[in-house]
Amino acid sequence: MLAEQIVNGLVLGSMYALIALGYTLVFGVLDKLNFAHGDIFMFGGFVGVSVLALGAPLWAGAVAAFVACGVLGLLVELVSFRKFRSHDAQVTAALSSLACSIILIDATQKVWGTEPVALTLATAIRTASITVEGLRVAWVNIGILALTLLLMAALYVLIVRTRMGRNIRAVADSAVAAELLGIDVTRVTQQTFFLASGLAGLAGVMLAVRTGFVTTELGLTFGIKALAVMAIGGMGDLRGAVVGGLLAGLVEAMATQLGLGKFGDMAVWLLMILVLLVRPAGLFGGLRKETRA
Amino acid sequence: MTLRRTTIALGAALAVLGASAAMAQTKPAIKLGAIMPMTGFGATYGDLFYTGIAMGVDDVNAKGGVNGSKIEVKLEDDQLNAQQSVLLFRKLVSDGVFAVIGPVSGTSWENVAPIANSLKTPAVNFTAIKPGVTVKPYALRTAPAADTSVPDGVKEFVRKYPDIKRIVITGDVQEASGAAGIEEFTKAAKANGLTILDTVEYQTRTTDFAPIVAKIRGLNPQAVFSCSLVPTTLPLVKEMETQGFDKPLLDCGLVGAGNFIHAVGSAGKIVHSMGFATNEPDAGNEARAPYVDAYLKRSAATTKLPQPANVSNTNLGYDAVHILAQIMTQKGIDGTTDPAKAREAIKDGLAELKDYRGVSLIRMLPSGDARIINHLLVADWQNKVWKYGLPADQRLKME
Repeated sequence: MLAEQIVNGLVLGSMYALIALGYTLVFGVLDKLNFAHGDIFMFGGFVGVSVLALGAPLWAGAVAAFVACGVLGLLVELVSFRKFRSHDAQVTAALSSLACSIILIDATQKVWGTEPVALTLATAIRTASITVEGLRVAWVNIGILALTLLLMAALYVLIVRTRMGRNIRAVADSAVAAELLGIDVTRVTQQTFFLASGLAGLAGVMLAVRTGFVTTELGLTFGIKALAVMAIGGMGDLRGAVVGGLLAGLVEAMATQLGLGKFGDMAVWLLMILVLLVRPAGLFGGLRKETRA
Repeated sequence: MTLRRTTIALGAALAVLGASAAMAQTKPAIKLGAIMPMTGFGATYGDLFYTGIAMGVDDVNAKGGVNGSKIEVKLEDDQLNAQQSVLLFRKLVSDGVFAVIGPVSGTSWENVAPIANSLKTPAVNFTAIKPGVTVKPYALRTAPAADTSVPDGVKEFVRKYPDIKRIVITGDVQEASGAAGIEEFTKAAKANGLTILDTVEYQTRTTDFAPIVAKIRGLNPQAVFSCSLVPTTLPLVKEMETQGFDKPLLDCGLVGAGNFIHAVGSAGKIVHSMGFATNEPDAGNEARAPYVDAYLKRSAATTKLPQPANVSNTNLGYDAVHILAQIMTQKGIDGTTDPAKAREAIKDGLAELKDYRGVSLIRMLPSGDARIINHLLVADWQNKVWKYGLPADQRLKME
């Protein structure tokens, strides 16, 4: 049972990590928090569920969610961040993105209603499982874990090995210096938002496949925890988002297993406080500064 | 001379009648308040419950209103938020309503019931299940609280599954009704000789139920008793389906109302709930079938509720309007009555209420809550309706 809970924790944590990566990417580039990110994740779930309801295959739902959320991310960048680039505008940008978040929730409710919307995917796909040495794992969980790890690896390659990634890193280090070097900062910012929001959209579809439905509450419940995950890992650090996500998932799963389920929801936040007390910059935040120095 | 006198008398009588009719037409309306979640998280509940209330108002007004005054309902939207419920209750009182129907949730009712007394304004709730929070004499709940409904449901569940002896209780300990349901489940399970293997608790904003279901599965129960609102019960049962858990699940009545039945899909095959009414005809209750028909027509025409709408306990909103109308008629209240006097008279009428035969038979208890026999319900997930879990002759009956 303990092994099963570890797997559950890792699957949950991998989804937290995927959303936290989006928060981290944007924070790394702009040094600002995008509060609409959690609800872009929620919106991705609705797009995926709606595309599947039309009879399309799962991959089409995932692609549609990635693109739709990517475009939505561009819109949020335009509305809430483009004009508020200066360091002084952190609060204004955060408030503006919070407004986008609330509008997105309301608009989603207007279109899909306030009730949970069920996923039309063959039950057999969600329930198929494999049992190894008494450990029962649903194929859907294996798929989510594998896909998430693959996406993380792809993101790592993109950031470290490609020109686009180099540009993103350059802007993250110093937007002014990057601009002086001829990098189109606006374009890099747009690319970052598209990527971060697209990943959130994919995470939304994955969660819908895992749970069998979507609701407009997800941004406030699941999405907001990814903020804590980012803080645990270290603001703006991609490795931190991954490690923080997995850690948060494991802590939640173990809390339930140990009979502390009534504290399960706050476990992630307690973990965040604890980590920040010991390492104020998060698990990897300090390392990032040291590397830069 | 006689003819002349008769003519004068007739003319005078006609004049009096005419004046009365004119007065009836011009009498101001009686204002009632309603607090329902019409937007946000619980908007479906608002649509479901307010449809019943609106049917009650139309019905009373079609029969001439109350002592010549029509009833008008001022509807306020609390978004299922207890703080908002309190603010709106105060607002309705300052607007001069004679009584308020609602709010819906247990947490809201727990907060509004004491204020109803301090502001001396009657409040009638018909949806909350947390016991011990109704505060007499101004607050009254015409629905059964969990301390009477859960024992009924468990008793019928045990009748249906006599071989089940080992259970796990699970639920949302953060929400008032969920926590109350867990407590009542614990008492009822013990009273029925069931062994509780463990109580697996979680919180309202729990996002992943895989660890919770894995823990429940590991305990190997024969059934699960669960108490939480729709947004948390739904992922719980979906996860049970994903993990291949196929033992019966008994809900404390929180998902028997609302749209759970429309969203649960095949995961609903293990789900049981409890309630006093379904969309089916109710043997021995002739008022139920016409109400269900009228409700389904009205909800299809005036709401966006998925059809067939889950009629369930919506009739208690309809009945609440009739109860208030009956009291106001008896107390001689109309739209011209001073609100403070009207409220006091309605409070007296509510205190005098014993049995009320509306669409449901409502028996008022000394606690200020109602006793209505609850039954085991099973989810007919394919047809998206709840059905009684036992044949009519095996169901519990009112003593």
